[in-house]
Amino acid sequence: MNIKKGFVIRKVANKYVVVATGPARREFNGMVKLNETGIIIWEGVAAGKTADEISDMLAEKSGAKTEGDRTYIANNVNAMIKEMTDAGFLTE
Amino acid sequence: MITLNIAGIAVGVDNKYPLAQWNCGEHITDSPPLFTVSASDDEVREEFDRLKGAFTPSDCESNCLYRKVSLGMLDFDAFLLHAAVVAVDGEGYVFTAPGGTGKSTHANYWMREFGERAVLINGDKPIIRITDKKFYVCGTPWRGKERLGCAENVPLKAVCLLERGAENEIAPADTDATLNKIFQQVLLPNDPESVIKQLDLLDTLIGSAPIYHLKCNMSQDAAKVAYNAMK
Repeated sequence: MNIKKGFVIRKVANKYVVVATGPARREFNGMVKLNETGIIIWEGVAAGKTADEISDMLAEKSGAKTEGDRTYIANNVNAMIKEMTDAGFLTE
Repeated sequence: MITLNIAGIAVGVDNKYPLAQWNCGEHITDSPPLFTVSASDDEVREEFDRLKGAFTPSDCESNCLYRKVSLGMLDFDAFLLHAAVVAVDGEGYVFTAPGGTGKSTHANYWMREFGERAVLINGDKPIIRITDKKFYVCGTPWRGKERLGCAENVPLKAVCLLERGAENEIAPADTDATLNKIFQQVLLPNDPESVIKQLDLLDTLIGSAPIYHLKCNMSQDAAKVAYNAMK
């Protein structure tokens, strides 16, 4: 799992804005806004990490202690990866 | 080939089709160009096809050229914005919104409201330029179908995100809404370096310029309500 080439990320108005350039623009013409958690997930996917690895990283970063917390984080990670997949951002 | 002073920058334009429809006259300059734009036959044809033959080749070339000018402007901390601009007492009020919302109509209410104090800077595609941390809004030859505008550059007083509403209401815009709305009214380049420049300029604008959200009902009163909040 990895992200297609051509995405630019830049901080605008305190949000991380993601925009497609080059061939990726043909499939995605808009803008994605990510918060601090979203950018960690995005960069995790860009680095080729699995959903579980990203969830573990976020759980550690946020000091998640309970199973409930960890499940919540994992659900968010999976949801965002699904959105990225549906939007056509990912390579197979 | 001619050179146009746009936003204080000398731009060379190597056109093939007559420029008569462009409203360039006030922009023509003797200064040497800092960059030059031209459109190839293929680019003009592509634009013609994209617009389904509804516009002349001259208009199509004009479209290709304004996109290239907009791209070149990024190197000078300037960018094109889809907006109407009225200056009152020498300060520019920028109304931005998707096409058909009523930017030109609203700008005309301002012209009627302020008479000689008002100047219509541009009715469609002005340029915003950032110089020494100050914002300027500048006339361009691309003035919309009513061909409203001039070649003046004025300090930016405020940006107004326009929306139709039952009543006239204005308030400072929240950052998120501003980002969403303004993003749709800029020309997004297709190469990463230029995109970064454009996004950085937007970040500066959204972070430092006064930005308002106006809901208006297309009446003369809307101009009064808007001005009183933004002046």
